[in-house]
Amino acid sequence: MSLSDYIKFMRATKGGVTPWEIADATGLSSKDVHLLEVKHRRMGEDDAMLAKLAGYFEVPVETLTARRDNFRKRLTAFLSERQRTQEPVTLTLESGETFPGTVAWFGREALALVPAGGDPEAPLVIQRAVVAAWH
Amino acid sequence: MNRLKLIRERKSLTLAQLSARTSIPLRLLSDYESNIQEISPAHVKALSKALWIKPEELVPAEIAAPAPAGADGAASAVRPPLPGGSPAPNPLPEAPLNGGLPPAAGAPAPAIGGPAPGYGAPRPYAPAYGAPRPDGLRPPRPAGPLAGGDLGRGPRPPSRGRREPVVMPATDGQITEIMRLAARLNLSTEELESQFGRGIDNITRFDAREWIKKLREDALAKAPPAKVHFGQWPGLRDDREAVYLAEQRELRAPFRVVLFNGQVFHGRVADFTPYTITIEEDTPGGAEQIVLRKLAVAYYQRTGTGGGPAAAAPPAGEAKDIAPFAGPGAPAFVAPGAAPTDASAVAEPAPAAKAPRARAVKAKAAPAASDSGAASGSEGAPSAAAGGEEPTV
Repeated sequence: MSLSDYIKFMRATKGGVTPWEIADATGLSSKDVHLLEVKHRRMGEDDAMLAKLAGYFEVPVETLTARRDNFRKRLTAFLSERQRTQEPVTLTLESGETFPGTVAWFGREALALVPAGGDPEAPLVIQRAVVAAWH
Repeated sequence: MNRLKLIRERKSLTLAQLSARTSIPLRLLSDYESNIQEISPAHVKALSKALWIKPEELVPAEIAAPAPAGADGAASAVRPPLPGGSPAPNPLPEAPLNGGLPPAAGAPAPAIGGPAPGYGAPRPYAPAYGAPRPDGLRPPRPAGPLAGGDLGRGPRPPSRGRREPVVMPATDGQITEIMRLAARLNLSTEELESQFGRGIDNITRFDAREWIKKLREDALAKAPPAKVHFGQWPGLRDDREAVYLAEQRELRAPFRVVLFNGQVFHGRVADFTPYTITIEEDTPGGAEQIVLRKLAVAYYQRTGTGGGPAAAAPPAGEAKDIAPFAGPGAPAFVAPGAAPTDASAVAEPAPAAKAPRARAVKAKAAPAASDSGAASGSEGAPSAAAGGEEPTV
C-alpha cells in the first residue's frame, strides 16, 4: 500500500475525517494533506509532516515512512513491464497473503493476476491499494 | 542623353531596385537619369547587365562617343560651363511633350541653342483639341531593337504548352521513416516493395506519404503503444476493472469477494460503480444484494461459469478473517459517525473471527465516511471511496 492509499485508508478508519479536519488538528496545510493522498509519484519527503500525521492517526511514524517507496507510479511501471514480458510476479498483500502469477491486465484501481496454472478467464482481481510488496 | 530612365520604367523597376541590382548608389542613378552626370563606362556595363540590354541601347553611340566639336562648339555633347560658374544647361534634347520616345540614334536632333518657342506660341506638337494630329508631327518610332517595347529581347520563344506536373522524389526523412516502420513490423525491403508494388527507390513524395500512413496504421494495430495513462476518469474504456466487471455482470458469473479485513462474500455481480460492487447472494429468503465499497475489497475472483446458480453457499470454513494490518500499527475500522477508536484498539490486530452476516455488512460500510471533498483529486484513486460519497461529476 502506498503512502497515498494508506492516508486515505486511515482517514476512513477515523470515521472519514476530511483533510481540513486533519489540517485543523495537526497544523498542517489541508492542501499538503490532499496532495499527499492524490499524487501518484513519491511523496512524503517531509518527516516532520509525517510525524504529525502519525501522531494524529495514532500509529508509529514508521508505518508512514516505510510506505514512501511504494508509490503508485512505481507499481504501475512494474505491472506494465511484467504485463509486457509476461514474466511471473509475486504480490504480497497487506494481509500477508502471497499470490504468484502473471499479470493479465491492470488499471488504475485493480490488477488481474492469473495464478500459475489457473484459468486465464478467471483471473484474481486484486485492488492495488492492498498490494504491500511486489517482485 | 541616356535612356536609363526610359528603360528602367519599361522594366518596371524602381530606382532602389536598380540600385540594389547594380550596387550603384541611388543618388548617382538619379543623377544619371537626370543627365546631371554621364554614366561611367563601368556603370554602363553594370546597368546594361542588370537591365538585360546591350550597352549601346542604354547610351546611344553618338552620345557615348563625344561628337566632334564644331566650329563654335554648339554641337558638342557637353557644353562648357558658363563663365559665371552656373551649371551648364542640359545639352541634350528634351523629350517630346506628347510622351513619345525620343529620337532614335541617327535621327536628326533639333539644333541646340535654336530659337525657343516664345510664350503663347503654339507648341509644335500640340494640335487643337479634337483635331486630328498631323502625321508629319508624329515623332518617328524608334527603329531597331527597341521596337515593339521588348527592349532587345527578340521575339518571344514559342510556348512550351502546358507544364507537366513536377514529380518530387521522396525525401530522406520519408525513406528513413518507412524503413523504421518496416523494421518495427519485421518487414524486409522486398516484402515492403511487394506489398506496395513499387520499388522504394522510385517512390514519389506523395507515395511515401501514403506508405507511411499505411505502415503506421499497421504498426499501431500490431503493437499498441505501451503508454500508461494516469489520471483517467473512472468508467472510461481504459478502466479495465470496469470492463471486466461489466462482462461478468452480463455473464452472471459467481464470484468470491474477500474484504480487506478478511471477510468473504459469495455472489454474482449485480452492479458496480467506480467505487462500489454490488453482489447478489442467494439466501434461503431470496436474493440479497450487498453493496461492497471497493476500498474495503482486497480481491475477488470468479468461481464458476456464468448462467448457473450462484455460489451463494460458501463451503464450510471458506470464510476467513484476515487481519488487514498485522502488527502493532494495525488500525481498526470505525463506523461512520462513531468516535475514533482508542490507541489500544488501534494497536491490536483485528479480531480473527468468522464474520457473521451482520458484521460483514457493517464491515463493508465501515470505510464509508462523509468526506466528499477528497474526491477532487484529479489523478488519484477515487477518493470518494474513502469518503463514502460518490462524486456528483
